[in-house]
This record gives sequence, structure tokens and C-alpha cells, in this order.
Amino acid sequence: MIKSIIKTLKEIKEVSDYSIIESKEYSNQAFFVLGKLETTRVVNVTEYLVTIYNRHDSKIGSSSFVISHKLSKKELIAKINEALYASKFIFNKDYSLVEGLKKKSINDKGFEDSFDVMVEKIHSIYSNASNEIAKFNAVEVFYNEKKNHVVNSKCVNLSNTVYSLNIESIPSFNGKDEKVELYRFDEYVSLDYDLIKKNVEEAIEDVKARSEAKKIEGIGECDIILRNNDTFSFFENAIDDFSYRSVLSGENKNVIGDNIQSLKPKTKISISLTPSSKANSFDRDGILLSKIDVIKDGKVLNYYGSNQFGQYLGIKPSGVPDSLFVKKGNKDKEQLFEGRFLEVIALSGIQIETRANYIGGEIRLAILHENGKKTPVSGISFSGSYEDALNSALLSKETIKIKGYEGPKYIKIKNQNVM
Amino acid sequence: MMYSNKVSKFLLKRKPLVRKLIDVLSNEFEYVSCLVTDVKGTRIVVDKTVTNVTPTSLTESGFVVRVLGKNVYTEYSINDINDKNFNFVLEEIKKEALKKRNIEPVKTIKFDEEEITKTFIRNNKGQDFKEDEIIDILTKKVNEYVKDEIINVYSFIECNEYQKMFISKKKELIQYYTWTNSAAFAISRVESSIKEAYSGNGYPSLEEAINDLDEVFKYSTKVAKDLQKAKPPTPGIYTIITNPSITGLIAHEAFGHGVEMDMYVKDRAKSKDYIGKSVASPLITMHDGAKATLSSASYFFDDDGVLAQDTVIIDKGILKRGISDALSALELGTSPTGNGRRESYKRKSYTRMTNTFFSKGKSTLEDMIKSVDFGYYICDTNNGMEDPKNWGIQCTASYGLEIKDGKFTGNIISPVVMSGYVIDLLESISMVSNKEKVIGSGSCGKGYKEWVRVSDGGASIKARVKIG
Repeated sequence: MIKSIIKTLKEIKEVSDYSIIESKEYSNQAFFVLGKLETTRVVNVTEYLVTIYNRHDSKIGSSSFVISHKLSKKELIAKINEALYASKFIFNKDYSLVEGLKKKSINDKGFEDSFDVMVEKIHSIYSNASNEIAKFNAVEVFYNEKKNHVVNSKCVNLSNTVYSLNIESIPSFNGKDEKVELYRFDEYVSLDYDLIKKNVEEAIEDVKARSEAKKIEGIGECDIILRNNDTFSFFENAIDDFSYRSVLSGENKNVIGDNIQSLKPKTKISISLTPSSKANSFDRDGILLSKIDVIKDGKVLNYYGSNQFGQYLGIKPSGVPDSLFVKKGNKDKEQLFEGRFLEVIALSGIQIETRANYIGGEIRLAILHENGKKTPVSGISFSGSYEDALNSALLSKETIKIKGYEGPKYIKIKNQNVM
Repeated sequence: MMYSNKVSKFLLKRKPLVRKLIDVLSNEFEYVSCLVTDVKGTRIVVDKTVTNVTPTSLTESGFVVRVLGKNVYTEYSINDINDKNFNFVLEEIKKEALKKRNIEPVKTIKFDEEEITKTFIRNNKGQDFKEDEIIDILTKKVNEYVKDEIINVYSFIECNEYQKMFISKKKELIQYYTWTNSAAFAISRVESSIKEAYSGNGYPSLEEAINDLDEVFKYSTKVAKDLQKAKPPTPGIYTIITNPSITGLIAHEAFGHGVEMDMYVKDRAKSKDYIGKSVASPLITMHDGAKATLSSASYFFDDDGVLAQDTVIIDKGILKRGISDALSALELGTSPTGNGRRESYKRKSYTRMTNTFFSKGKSTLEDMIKSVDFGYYICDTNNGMEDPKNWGIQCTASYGLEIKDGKFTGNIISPVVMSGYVIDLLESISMVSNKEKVIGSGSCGKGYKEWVRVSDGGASIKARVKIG
């Protein structure tokens, strides 16, 4: 269908430029309730996001629409004209679309097993880890195959295929006094049953710990260790201000060359943006992506962002890679896990407000480490200064690679208020 | 124009074919239904640097067919069902639904539906506008309010036309309704201090949204300026009074998620053991339902084809019942409450909240403030997270105004993260205001996915809560 859309767009003179993103999604899904299969789903859809550009009075206007099923030529022309109408009243500063060099198709490696085989094996891993008191009340398995195709009127013609497996699970534990549960969402970019098994075992261990957890009063000021997705959020927030859009709007407190940490931080932090795989090496504008060092040794090195805002800032647009890369720390787990601290296993959701200089969250499960003694705790919360956390952060040597993040598994931040 | 005020031709054109599909599949399957969606949305965004016109995130057009196969329900989502792909779709559904699997299924039975054929229409009220008129209005507002320490205002108007058709052996339902959202997200800067504030609302009428825009801009820019003098709170337990936005957040996060009855099926909800018991102060009555008020989640039937209802969840402090989608109700042997909602036709239906709120009480807001020796008036939802099994809560508000000896001191705290145990919070409620407001501009996820539009709110409440 993409050819017929292009043909029609070319016939309308007022369309100065165009871009089309074709998204094909094939997904298999299975939903388990208390270990039994409740629902299966298949998704087989293709959609087109068409953006038309109209240059007028040395300005540019653009407007987009979605096509979800085949349209007659008359219907398509009507959609284009509706978009054209709106674009004529938009007076954005002119910029050029990304120019393509040659057609390129990059595909990640598909999963070895069919979904039916995969889901039986995954079900068996979850079942084997379960017993009368420790089990999974719900498991949802999503296998996704996504094909994206970006074309524009300046010869961009890029396509990719990416695969992913997502598993949402609710581990639960029937404790002596009450039943407890935790929430888990694991995303896999390759099929690794050993990793799934490891995560399942970890989920059961964590929820068992929650059943033993007690609310302890008077913990007071305490160091905090965050892990996995919370570590990812910690670093993700540190570079928010440096998108082209924020910079253009004047919302960035620091500029290139500034330190985001104090002069003598515990660890000088380096954060980059990078494509998560070969297939993800172009963005929605058609920019071919490479690693962007946003923060290096605590200093702002580069801004990042889309084609349009890059040009507005007079910078060669970087595009927006889909993954964060953080340089690993120099502490092994034993060194990090020294002294008195709270190892946070599960938060309701980490709260980071960089503009209010705040970090905190309600702790659903943490382990209080006091010189070797471990006590599971729950029903408490922590809070503190995000800037102080950036300065006091100690990073682990141990790294993880999860969707959207590769970097230290653990981060230790000092002197948080716990109540 | 932004609204057509007409049922989509696409839906009507596909109706005979969908009916045929249901008839053919009914020869092999005990239960068959098809939801067809054709949601059209336009979002016009204006700030000081750019203007954009894009489809809204709700824009979609597609089909989801549901059949009861070998003890499990099977669903197939596709963009289109037409004469050309009819047989292909038929075979794909059969292939998936009749698969032999070495996994024990939940023993589900077929939906027991009542016969009903009806079309529901709720048009946009008042004057309609064209894109260029909205761009012009927003641009003037941005130019008016971006000055001095206000360095930018991201503003938008979003118009959605919801059009859905649900067909099964016994049902044929069509609905068309509109909803408009507006918002302004203001950024203030004083030297290196940058603060942000959001104001948004939802309306059954575009004209009303346009008329209210000045208030939306005025509020967000004022708060963005005020936040420049905000300080972080000292962690502790405080007396609070909530504005309707925070009341809604508490109703939604603290209790609403915990009474979603698909959680009962999964043995995930503590509230299951509390039906008929006291869970809140006797001053609290809590509703949820697409029919409970007119707001962003006021549809006529849900994505399972169940008609909208008004469910009283808590009545004077006593937990009465939960809310449910059709499948959960079937598994629990209860009646569905019209709360089966999908993020899109590509996703599964779950029990979801709609319009959730605490009803008004008898106190005036002035008397409530006067009654506080020391505490905060907490304003504007930021986010929240549920814990249905263990009733932990986390609700984040944008800011709080300090109250001392019954008067505002002018001091402001931000951000405000409230946490604790649901029942402690709800039982601590000692006053409820005599005015209520439901705010139709929110979105809600289940866990970290499945986003749907919801509204929440209610009256102001006075309670004790942990901040920090």
C-alpha cells in the first residue's frame, strides 16, 4: 500500500514533502490465571502514519494522519487535503527532511522457537518454580514481531524487524499472617530460557522475603541501594534536560561543558544514548543513529534530539537512540554491600523530580543490611535530594542489559530519609 | 471541523460482514463476538517554538474477534475484515482457537447475554471549530502568557470521536460520542531554578473547552511561578485537605484498583475479604461507572458489549462490591458492571475503572481549612501506584499549601509524595466538603501497561497521611 500512498502524495502539488512510517505488528499472547491458561490472542495489524509538509511564506507546516485499512483513491486524497488544510495555518521555522543515501533493511535475529513451543516451555518454568505457598497468581506472555519501514520524499527508505518477549507476572506468597504479592515486568530481546528461569527464581525469593518483611520504625537516615529498572530511571532522569527541545525552550539548568555533579563526586558519571541493536539503528525521522555521549565524567558533552529541533539549534541532528548506556562503576557487590543500608527490591514506583531536586518512593520490599544481618522490611518510604544522590552515587562493576538500558546493576546513594 | 457528529460509515459498511462472520463462526464455537473500533482523534499542540497537528494516541480503526475455543477464550485483532480477507480471517481464528495445547485451561463457560440492539449517540455540544481557528486561539494564549519568568507553555486541544460497534449472536450495539481535552504545561525559570506546572481538563463540548482555556493557562502559569518559592516537605505524618484532583487520585489508586474484580479471579485483591465490612470513614461513599457522571470515561457500553452502569463501591464507609469486566464476572459467577476496557482493539479487555469519585459531604471547604492546626492543602495529581493485594499506596501531588491555625501561611511544599496503608488513610477521613468536581483528563495503566482514559475526583477530604 505504501507505493499507492506515495503515488497519490506526488500527484498533489501543494505537498512539499512527505514521510510515511509503516508499522507491521504480529503478536502472540497468552494469559494465565493461577497457573491455568485463560485467554490466547493473536494480533496481526499494519498501520501507516503519513505526515505531509507544506512550505509557505518561508515557513513550514506539517500535519499527520493514520491509515489503518485500504482507502479508495478518493478517500486518500480527502485525507491528504484535510492534512494540507491544517498545515497551511502552521508557521514553524523551516527545516529540511532527512536525506537518504540508499535503501537499507536491518533485521534482528528472530527467536528460535515458535510461540506455541515457547509458551509451553515458559509455562513449565513458572509452574516448576511454584508450590502451594509460593506461586504466580497471573502470568501474561507477549511475543512481538515488529516491522517498521520509514520512507520520505528525500529518499529515506529504511526498514527493520525487531523481536521481543515480554512477561508480566505476579508472584505471590501465602505467609503465616497474610498473603503478599509483588509485580514484575520482564522484557527479553532474545530467547534465553536460563535467564527467564533465573528471573522466575528471583521473583519467588523476593516475594517470600516480602512475606517475612516487617515495618520497622526509626530507621532514620540510611544509605539506599537501587537495582535494575530503578537504576535505569535514576540515570534516565539525569539527561532529560539535554534534549534539543528542552534546550531550545531554555529549560536546561546546565549547558555543554557544565558539571551535573559537584566538583568531587564519589563517582564521575558517564551516560550515553545508543541503539539497542543493529535493527534499531535509525529513528522515526530516518536518521542513522550512533552512540551519543551526553554526560562524560560528570560533564555535559552533547545534546540529543530529533531532526527538526537539531536544525533549529543549528546542530547536526543526532536522532534519538532507544537505549541508555551508563559506564559501569568500580565497586564489586561485596564493597557496595558494606555497612548499614537498605537494599530496595521493589518500590511502588521510583519518584524522581529533577526540577524539585527530589528522589524517593514507597518501599514495598527492601532488605535492611546491618553489618551482615539482613532484615526484610516493608511499609516504609525513603526520600532525599536528587542532586546529593548524583554526587554520592557509588556504581557497581556488575552490569545488566535490559530493554532501554545497559549499565550498572546497582547504585548506592547516601543519607536518604527513611520513615 | 473537528467533529462529524455522525456514526462512521466504515462501521456501518462493515456491519453485514461482521454479522456473517459471527454466524459462520457460531457453527463451531459456543460464543463469538466482534468489537469494531473507529476512533478519530486530532491533537493540536502549540508552544512558543512549534505548532503540530497529529492524530491522538487514541486514534485507531480495527476489529477484535473473540471466540470460546477449547475452554479458553481466543481473540484475533486485525485492521480490516472485508470480502477479500474474510476467509483468511475465518481460518486464522479457527486455527488459533482449536489448537491442541499441553497446558491446563481455566474451565470457562460461555457468556450469557441478553438480547439487545441499540445505537447510542452523544454529539459534541455547542459550536464546532476548525483546526486553523484552534491553532489561532492557542497561539494567542501562548503569546499572552509566555513572559517574564514563564519561559514556555506547552498547550494542546485534543478532540476524540469514539465510534464502536459490538456484535454477537444476541447483541448489536453501536455508539458515537465525543470528548475534548485541553491542557497547558507551564515552565517558569528564575536564574537556574526551573519549575513546571500542569493544568488540564476534559469537556463534552469543544466550545466549553475553548471558553475555559484562559483559566487553564492562568492556573498553570500561576502555579509554575509560585513553585519557585516551594520547599521540599519535612517527612512526617500530617493533617491534609485535598483538592478534587488529589481526592480522585486517592479514590483511584488507594481503593479503585483494589476492587477491580479481575484481581479477585487472580486472588490478587485484599478487598475480596472485606465485602460488607468497614473500610473507610462513614463519611465516605465511592462511585465508579461510565454512567456515574458525565466525564471522559462516559461511554454507553464497554468493550465487552456490557451496558454502562453506576456502581456504588463504598457506601458510608462499608465496602459494597467491586467492578468487573464480562470474563471476570463469568468466572466469579457475578454480574458484569460495564468495566471491561481495552487499551485498543490490539489489546485484551481487563476490568478497568471509568469515572471514579468520592461523593460530596456536608462541610464547607472554608470550615475544613479553619479546622486545621497545622497541615497542608494538597493540590494536583502527578502520579500514583496501586497495591491491590497489600493495600500500600503511593500518591504524588504537585504541591501543598501550608495551613497554620486555620489559615494559609503562603508557604508551599513540592513535590508531595504521600504513602501509607490504604485503610489507615481512608479511616482517618474526618471531613468531606459539600462540593465535588470530577476531572476528565487522566489516563490510567494496569501495572505498567494497558493505558485507558479515566476521570476521577470528588469532594475535598480532610485526612491524616504520611508525606515524604
